[in-house]
Amino acid sequence: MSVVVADPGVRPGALQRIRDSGLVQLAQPIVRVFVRNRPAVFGAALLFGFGIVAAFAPLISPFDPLETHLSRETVFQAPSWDHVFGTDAQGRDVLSRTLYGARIAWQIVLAAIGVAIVLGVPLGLFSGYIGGKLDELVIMRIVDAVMALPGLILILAVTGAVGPSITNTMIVIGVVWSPGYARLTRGIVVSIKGDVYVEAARALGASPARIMWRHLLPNAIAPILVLASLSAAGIILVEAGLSFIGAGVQPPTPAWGGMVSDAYRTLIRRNGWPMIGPAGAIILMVIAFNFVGDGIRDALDPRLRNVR
Amino acid sequence: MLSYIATRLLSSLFILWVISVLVFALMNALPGDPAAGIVGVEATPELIEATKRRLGLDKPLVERYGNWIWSALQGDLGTSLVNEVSINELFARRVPATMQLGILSLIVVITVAIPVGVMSALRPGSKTEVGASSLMIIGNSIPEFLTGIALIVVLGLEFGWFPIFGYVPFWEDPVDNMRHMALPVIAVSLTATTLLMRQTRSAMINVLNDDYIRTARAKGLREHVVIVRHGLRNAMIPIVTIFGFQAGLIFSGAVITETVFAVPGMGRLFVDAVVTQQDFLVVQSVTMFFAIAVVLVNLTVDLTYPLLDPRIRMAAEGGAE
Repeated sequence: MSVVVADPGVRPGALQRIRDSGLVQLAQPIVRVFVRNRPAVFGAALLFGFGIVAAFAPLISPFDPLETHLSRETVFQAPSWDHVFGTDAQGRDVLSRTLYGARIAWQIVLAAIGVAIVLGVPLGLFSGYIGGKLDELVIMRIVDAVMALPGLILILAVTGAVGPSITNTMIVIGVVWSPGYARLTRGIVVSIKGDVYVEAARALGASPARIMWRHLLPNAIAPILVLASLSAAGIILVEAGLSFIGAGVQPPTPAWGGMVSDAYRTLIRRNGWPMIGPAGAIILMVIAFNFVGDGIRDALDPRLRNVR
Repeated sequence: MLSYIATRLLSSLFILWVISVLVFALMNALPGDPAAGIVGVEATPELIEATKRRLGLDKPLVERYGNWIWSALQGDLGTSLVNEVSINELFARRVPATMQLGILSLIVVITVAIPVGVMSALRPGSKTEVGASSLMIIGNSIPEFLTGIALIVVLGLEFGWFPIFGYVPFWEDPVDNMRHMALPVIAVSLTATTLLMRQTRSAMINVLNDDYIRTARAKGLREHVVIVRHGLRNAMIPIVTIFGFQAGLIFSGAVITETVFAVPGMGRLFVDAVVTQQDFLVVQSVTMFFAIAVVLVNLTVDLTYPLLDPRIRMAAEGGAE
């Protein structure tokens, strides 16, 4: 993207710069700790699997996830070789819908974390850097107040204003999760902004924006990554819950929570087969994110061991 | 001590005020015209204007916020915009079920998590510890609605021990009421229980390695005195802190669980108002209800700190926070 390579003789290439920065040496022990953590590796493999499924859902799904077959024989089929997870109330193939559901889940996790970082991190940087009354008495008090409420309640309140849809779900979850990122970033900034290299940068005439971006932000990246990986499981759970109660992704889009909800409505009159696929997928993905989150936390930043 | 209580109270009130402003701003400043939603698609502009005037939506935002808070403080929550029922009446019908669900779950969480957490800290590798550890992974990874459905399928349908949905008020039939509450309470408390158990275990393990525990044992104190008076008492601070956080989990769990078990509580009211997306006054009021519930639990937690830790008590008595 950038075209700043004005003088290649003076500026080393990107690869060389990464090598010189010591990032590789820094990353090696982190990777080693992570790889030795068996649940974390298992979780990472699962997530990779979910990623593949999400990326290639149209290629590997045996049927169209939205195509209905409304006749007595085609609805509520028990699992068979044709329909591994059976079919639902509208005769749709549950396996295909579950595979497409991985797309929805990944989309929501990534988008929500993205929104939370984009909103929360700059706020934390700014608030921590300027300090004073605006930081302590205004911004952080609002952050406290928002974090005092359980996420789901706030998400529902906002959804009540903007209406339930997949886009709104991603944005609203991100917004509600962002104060956590603001508080984390702000804490780091406050603890390091008096350090000598920050003083030095200021003495050299660096602008506040440059100090925040080049000197303060890099110190916050590892903890932010840890927080992101730890919040992923919670986001999956909240999204599943929202779609289950009808306030998240709307049908017929195959979100796992909504699929469980559909199947639950007909559980007593017909059978519970359509629930197995999506329910299993939710649990597996949450377990995977929990394992990976704990693994990344232990490898990157042991100080955060008791943060949830 | 008094000043400590006063500061905590003030900060709780402040949090509630910020939340009320945020929620009000959200519901009223975001795009979407509630008046147009209520009168329907075919409404004339005049009808929309009239509806706005009737609901007081033509006044400036600040005045509307003031009116809302002022009448709420006087005990009048307003009228539902959809079916014109007074929100006070809705609350009177809905609050008991949710309060009961929340309080019973909090009790279950405390009475299960702390003893089991302590035991699994004392005997690593025992059946209790292994069982508790596996429960921790499960409780952490299964959403409440799946726990609820599993309970319904196994204990409700297969064994027929419990009714699978509905609610009977306590004062009508206490026994039937408890039978209806059993499964929702388990579903709501599972996640919170496992988290508190984990916290109790790690807090106890930390404390039990301390020197004063060895001293207490060396003095020849009986083991249960060592564990409870010297161990658990010192482990209580982190445990209680996490418990405050659990309150949020329990109330959001209740929102979802009420849908699973068709419990006519505040959660159901909330979800219905959110999904139909017209009753913004109900959404505002219910959000404030949950905010107050969570803030109250956290205030209680804050007020128990001085009882647990003389250092906090002394700092509080010294006048500083």
